[in-house]
Amino acid sequence: MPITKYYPFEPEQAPLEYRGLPEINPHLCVGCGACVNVCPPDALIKIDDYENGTRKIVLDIGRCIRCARCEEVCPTRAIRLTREFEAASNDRICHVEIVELKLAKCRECGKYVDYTERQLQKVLSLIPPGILEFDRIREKLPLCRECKRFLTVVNATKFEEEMRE
Amino acid sequence: MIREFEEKFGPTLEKKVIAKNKVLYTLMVRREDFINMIKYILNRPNTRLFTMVGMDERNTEESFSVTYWFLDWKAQEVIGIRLYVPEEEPSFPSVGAIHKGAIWFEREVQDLLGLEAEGLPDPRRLILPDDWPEGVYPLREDFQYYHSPMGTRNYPYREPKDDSTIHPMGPYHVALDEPAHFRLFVKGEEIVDVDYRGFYSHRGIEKLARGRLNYNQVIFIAERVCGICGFAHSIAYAQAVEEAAKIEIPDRARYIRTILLEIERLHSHLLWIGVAAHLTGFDTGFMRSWLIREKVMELAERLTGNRKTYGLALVGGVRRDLLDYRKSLILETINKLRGEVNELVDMLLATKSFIKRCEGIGVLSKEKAREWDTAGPLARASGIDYDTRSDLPYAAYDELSFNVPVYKEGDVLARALVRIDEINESISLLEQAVDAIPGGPVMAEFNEIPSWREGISAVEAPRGENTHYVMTGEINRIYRWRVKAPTYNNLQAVPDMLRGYTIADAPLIVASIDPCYSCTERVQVVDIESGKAKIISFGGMGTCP
Amino acid sequence: MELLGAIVAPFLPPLLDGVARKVKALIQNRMGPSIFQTWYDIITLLSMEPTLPTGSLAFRLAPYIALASALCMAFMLPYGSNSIINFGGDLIAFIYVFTLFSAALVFGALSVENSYSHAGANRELTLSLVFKPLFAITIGIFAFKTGSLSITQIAHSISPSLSIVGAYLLLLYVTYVEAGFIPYDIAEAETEILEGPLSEYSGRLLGLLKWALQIKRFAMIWLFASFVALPIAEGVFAFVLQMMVFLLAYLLMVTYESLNARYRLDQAMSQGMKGIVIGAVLTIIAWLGW
Repeated sequence: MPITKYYPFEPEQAPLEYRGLPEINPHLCVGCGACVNVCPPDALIKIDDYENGTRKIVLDIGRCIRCARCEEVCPTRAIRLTREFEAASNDRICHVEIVELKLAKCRECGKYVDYTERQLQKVLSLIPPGILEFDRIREKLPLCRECKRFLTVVNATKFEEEMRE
Repeated sequence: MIREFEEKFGPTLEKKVIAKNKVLYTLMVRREDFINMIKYILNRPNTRLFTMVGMDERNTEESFSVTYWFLDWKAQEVIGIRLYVPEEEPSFPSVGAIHKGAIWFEREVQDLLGLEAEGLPDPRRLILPDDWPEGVYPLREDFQYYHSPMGTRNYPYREPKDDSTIHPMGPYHVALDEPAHFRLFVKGEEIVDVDYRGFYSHRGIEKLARGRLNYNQVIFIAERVCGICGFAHSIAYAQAVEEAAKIEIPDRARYIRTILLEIERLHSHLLWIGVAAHLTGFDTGFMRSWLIREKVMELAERLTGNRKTYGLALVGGVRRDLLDYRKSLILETINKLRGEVNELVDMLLATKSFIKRCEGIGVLSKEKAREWDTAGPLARASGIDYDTRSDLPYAAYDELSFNVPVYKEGDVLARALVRIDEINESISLLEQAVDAIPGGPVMAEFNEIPSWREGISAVEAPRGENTHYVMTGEINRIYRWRVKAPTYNNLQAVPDMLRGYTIADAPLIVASIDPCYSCTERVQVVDIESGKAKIISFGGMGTCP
Repeated sequence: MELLGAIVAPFLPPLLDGVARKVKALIQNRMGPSIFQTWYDIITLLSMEPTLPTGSLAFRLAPYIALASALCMAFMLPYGSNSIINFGGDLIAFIYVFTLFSAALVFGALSVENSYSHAGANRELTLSLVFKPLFAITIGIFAFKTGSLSITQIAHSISPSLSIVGAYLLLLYVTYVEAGFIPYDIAEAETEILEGPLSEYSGRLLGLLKWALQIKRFAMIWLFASFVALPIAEGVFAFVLQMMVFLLAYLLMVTYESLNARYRLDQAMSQGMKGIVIGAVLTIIAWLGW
């Protein structure tokens, strides 16, 4: 049995456990940036645009070392390593995948905050329903940091006044 | 050894205990005693220079430091001797003048940190390229890693003393996998002398790890130091950090690390057998041994996700567990391997023409091997009984039983036999490890890695001992990481092995030390021909200091 | 018949080399290149412009001289019962052209300032100094016993005797060595001296040299096959028998090649010297009449 084969004229498939090229499922990605934090060669980068309110997660397969740390930390299993290993192409643009998400807008001042709408939805879906209504959390979101601090101070003073009465 | 050393030299030294059997001494006064201390250690039997680290400690200690680490492998103890070198007077007495194995370490410190060793026999540049300007030292703290200065081109090669011809083997040669320049001085076919110049693929890994990456990112770089023994490097690094931070890894993680290290050893030795056969023209031996190796690579792919660069080690344990079906996969592959390896060895030893090319060639005597601090199968073929797995145990090796093959002849055939015996030992070790693997977690729980701690650890890579030294720094970064690969020592012994043999033997002799140039060399890319320096930018993310 | 053989002779050897590579690959458990691969390589090389490291005329002429010598060797051999170049002393001419081939290689190698080429030239000269006389002695035994100096004539009139049997064995050995199979391809060793005399050649000149080497190998083995087949057959039947003996010998040699490592120069030399001694002894036996 010859050990070699006429690749690429005969197809070659990697086994199930192979760590191949990563791929982001744009429906699942919430733009949290956990993968960006953990990627050793900076193949994943996060670009925030506060003027237009977008966040881009840019994946460059040419820099990827297939370590699979992004797959391990993704909270929604949006980025997965496939079994593909053929990455050669004539143009480097083929290696770049961009997922663009909308940043949430502060309901008080109207500026864009540093998390995305989908991140907000994901977090809200994780909190058990009783707590959401109890703490009236839904009213407080989304808020930018200044408005959140302001709201906290306002609530704290109101509470103190109530206690004094 | 530590006890006797302390009795003799104790009063002048400041002592710091790194681990149970590893001690660091710092010289506070009487620099003149430095050479005496080192001579005392080296004159004892079974000692060797483990590694040498130059550090820029001007931020914390106001001067540079040079630390020599020694290992006594029968007593299983490590001693470090640190000397502070002030910036105004950057020189220290050279150990290379009394012990040849220290020469490259001192040349490297001269190139990268600017500390001059007084009395060094060969003060030429080792690492920096031809057109690097004088006075610019990459490893100093004030040098940014993306900086590429220009200079003029000049390298003082040695000239032949008599009328021998220069026969350059390299930088490009079909027998070498990576660029290296052996200038052979020949008379007809006989080699009279050798001048080695290397470090063509120095990548600047130590500078990169300084300040830009956190601990678990550096481990991926450590894995890419070498294409064949990468996992050994990543484990050595992880062990050094674990020693510095006093982290105990769980037992199951130790066994998994052992299993993967042995798989790596198997594939590396089978690769070497193929390469040695190919260099003598025996292509059938080459193809057969790589056929067997293919099974090991497929096993690694099923276990870890990739044929090489397993990516499984993290500081504190391993990333993924070894599930049951994978255990049975390992046992199946090993059983098939055993029979095939025996057949291959029988075929090789029965091919007279191959044996004639290997016997009596490239002999390295035991004294020379000790002088150059050689390691791995090269040292074991010359009669030095040193194997890091049994003499400085790590991972799960202290709980497994295996033999260490030692031969006396010191020629290429002895090195081949050492490696063949090691393949059989690896197979038996794998069986024991898979059998005895305990349950439990695979990752240790720990909070934070404290700063300004030191750790030093060694791992037996297929080519010899890999020594990693780590000093942890602030904000979860490394302060200094020093990698020493076995080929660093072994290559220095090559000129002694080449003298007196013919050009036909030269590729085989060089290949018999199993050189791994990418392990040896570690900085930056300067394109000499076009005169342009390539500045490597990193995605502009603002993570650079 | 001879004409047919003479036309086929330059074009068959690369195809045979392709078959040899396929056989080696099968022994080594792999698929191997297609049997036309050597032809593809030579055609690609012939279509490329060579880079000349030196202006010397010897460098540029050497491949052409080598090709011409190899072709002469091939044309002097019988295909069927006759050869197209056939005259009284063509055995001496054969030895002459054979040596001219090695000389062309050596001159081409020495005309460049490259220590690898010089090492290769050195090896080729040393080997020639031992193996060409050995070849001459072996063929001389045949010539002596059959009383003729023409290859075709010798081939037809060989009759068995003690010295002839020994001479056949010695001829097999010399053919194997001079065909440049693995234990003895010392001059053109790839891994050790970067192909020796061929290392500075490129493009068209390299293609011609490689082709010439193939034709020389073919001629040597065809000579052996002729000496085996022609004493016992005539005409077309002789040609067919030559082909069969040739293919059998070629395949056996290729198989033996893949099971061996390359010799060092001194090891091959000492073997060659022993061969010369045996040849001398056989010549004495022949002279004594056996």
